[in-house]
Amino acid sequence: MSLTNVSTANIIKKQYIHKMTSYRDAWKSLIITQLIALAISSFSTGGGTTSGDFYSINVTNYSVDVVFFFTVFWAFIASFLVTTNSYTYEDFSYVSNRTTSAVSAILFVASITTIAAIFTMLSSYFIFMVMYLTQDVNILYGSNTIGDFSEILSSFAAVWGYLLLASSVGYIIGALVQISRIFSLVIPVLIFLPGFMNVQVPILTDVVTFFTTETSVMMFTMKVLITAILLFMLGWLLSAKKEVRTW
Amino acid sequence: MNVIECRQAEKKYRGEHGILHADFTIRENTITGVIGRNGAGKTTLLKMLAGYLKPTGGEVKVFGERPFNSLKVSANSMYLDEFTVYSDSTPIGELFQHHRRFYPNWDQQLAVELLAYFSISQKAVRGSLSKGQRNTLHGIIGLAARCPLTIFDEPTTGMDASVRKDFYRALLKDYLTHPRTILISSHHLDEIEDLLEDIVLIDLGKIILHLPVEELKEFGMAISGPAAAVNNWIQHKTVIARKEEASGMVTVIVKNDFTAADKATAAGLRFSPVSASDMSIYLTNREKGGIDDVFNKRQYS
Amino acid sequence: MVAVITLLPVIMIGLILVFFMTRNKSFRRQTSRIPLKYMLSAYVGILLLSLVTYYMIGQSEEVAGREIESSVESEDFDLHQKIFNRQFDEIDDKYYFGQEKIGLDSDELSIRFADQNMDTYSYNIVVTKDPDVKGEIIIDYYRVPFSINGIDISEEFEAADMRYDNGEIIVNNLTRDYVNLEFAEFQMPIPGSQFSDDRSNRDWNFNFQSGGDFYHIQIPENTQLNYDPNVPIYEFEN
Repeated sequence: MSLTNVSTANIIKKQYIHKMTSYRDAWKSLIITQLIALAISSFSTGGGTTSGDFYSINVTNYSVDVVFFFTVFWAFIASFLVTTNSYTYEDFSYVSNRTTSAVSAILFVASITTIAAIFTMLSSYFIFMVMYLTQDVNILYGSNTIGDFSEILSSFAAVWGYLLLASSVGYIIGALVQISRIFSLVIPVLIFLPGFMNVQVPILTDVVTFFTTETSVMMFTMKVLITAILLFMLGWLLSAKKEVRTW
Repeated sequence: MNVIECRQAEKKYRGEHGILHADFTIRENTITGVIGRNGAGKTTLLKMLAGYLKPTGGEVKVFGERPFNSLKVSANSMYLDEFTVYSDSTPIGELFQHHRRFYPNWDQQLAVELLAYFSISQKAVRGSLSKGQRNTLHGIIGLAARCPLTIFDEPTTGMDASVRKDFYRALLKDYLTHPRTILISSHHLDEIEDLLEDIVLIDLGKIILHLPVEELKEFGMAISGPAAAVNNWIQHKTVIARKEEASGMVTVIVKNDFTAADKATAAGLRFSPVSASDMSIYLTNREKGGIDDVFNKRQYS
Repeated sequence: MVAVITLLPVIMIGLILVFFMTRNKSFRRQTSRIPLKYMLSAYVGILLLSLVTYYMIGQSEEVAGREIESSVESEDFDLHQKIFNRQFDEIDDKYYFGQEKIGLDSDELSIRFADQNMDTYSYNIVVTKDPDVKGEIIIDYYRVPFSINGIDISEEFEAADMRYDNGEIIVNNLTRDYVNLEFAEFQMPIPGSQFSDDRSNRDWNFNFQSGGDFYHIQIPENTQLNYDPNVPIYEFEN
């Protein structure tokens, strides 16, 4: 039987198609996460009341923030799971090496994150329509629209950027955990302990402000892309020597 | 042409053997059985060949390349066992489509027809299959993919007897029309004996024998008779196993390297051939006596 | 909202734990039995439907408030101070809301409040006798806008109405009716707000800024001013 010659690019493409179509749980969990978030968002996610001697004012806020935060959380978990054995081993049931497996996984994560960002932006229309139909009070100036094209675009850049960051962080943490189980204990402690004990970790704060204080869409996108690419590459390198199915 | 070449290949796990000094080659278009007891290292060897595991020493070459992380080896080989990972939520029909995309030789018609023959629905998801059905599915995939090197690790686990027979028959028929290199591991040789051309016998991580099935059938002889006569006759022979029987009779399995003249000197002894399957059991016996010994010792202590 | 954010890490830890307990081959990868294509197309359908509806209905007519052109945060006190220090020249133009001139034909002027309820007055009226003013009353109107989340809603509060009639200024609406306001607000996503100046006033919490109105009444120096000493009128001494 004659041997088949394959190119890396060709296999990456096939694996990418395979992942996009067969990772149903990633898609389903995205939809379920966003549906829950939409349900929460439909009942107003904030607002406030104030009153003085001669006035009382009540504002009901609607926004996609809950959808956004839920989706960030989803992006982290989804890309974390993609690095786990039960997903990577499937690549080797078909045709794969570590490079094609990692690259196609990264492409998959980046694609589904982008689609999640589009869904998040689209869900603002849904929430807006809910507000429009259920609230018979006046809408505050400026918030009677979702925004003009450039506003939507910059919001999309931000949503997409943070989702991509979340998924690249999920990917690198997943890769670390695959190397050693110790990381599955160390990483949550490192992330959450400072929060619980009210300790400010200077580096963490710096990292957060590095992204959140950026006011230029262009610069923000650059920062996000470079960071995400670095994290993804590092995750890829970490998984480059892994054996398949030692059980 | 050799599809597989191993030179002193070894794979050590922490504190365990795995595979040691594996030194063998496998020719193109042969069906080879990898036989050994549980934990002998069959799976380790096969996974090393499939590129799943990285050898810790020596050299493993498949299609002239080191299989670990080789895309060429992955594209031209397939390793299937009961744990082969496919998404549990993917319908089988779709699983076939994925294979069709990855394997250019994929025979969709064969896959569909075999699946129907074994009464598994294309719409069923893999997660809902029983262990035997799952292995049947993996077997069908392995046949239909027509990979130049197909490795079946204990393919019939959980299958019932008739499915088992059908599967091996399908394998043989497909092999005859589309010859390719196939490795099958099993701990019992008898059911695949007729299928195989060559046998690799593994025990305790070492390859004991690698020879055609026909030669294994003539590898040894069983000699039975009174203990004294047998002991006398076997003095300069290679004894593989020894079985004491009641009333001073003894059966000894001896390597079949003696001449007709030797045989003539053995008056009163009975010579009988040993089947390949029995031979493989004797060869991998770990010199602890039989299972009976375990119970015998308990009785007297 | 805060509760949701505090819950996230807890859920995260929980999911990770569940995942590690059920990892490997026994880990069933199945979330729901509904076929994905139905789920996906239904969801995309809902989203696109709202998108289309949104652009079909156009922008809402029922809009309250208007955009604040320049930032006025926390300058209420500043304005107050400048007015009571008679530093009218230094008051920023953004607080200046207009001027009214009324011809004055008598030497006497009384200021009368139409409404006598003194508990809830909310205007500041200052009076200056200015030698430069001849035969007229000049009323300058300064205002710090009421704002919610950066949107000026002063229109919702009725402004005072001053009428001159025969040597008397009558101030209406000085005591305000109780105003009860309800608004809905659609905020841009919080991650996007970092790029935007327009709606950047959006706060994580509700942000209300109480405003105030100031009337500066200038009258000729020799005018005799009469008013009820109980009403909040402040007359500068020369």
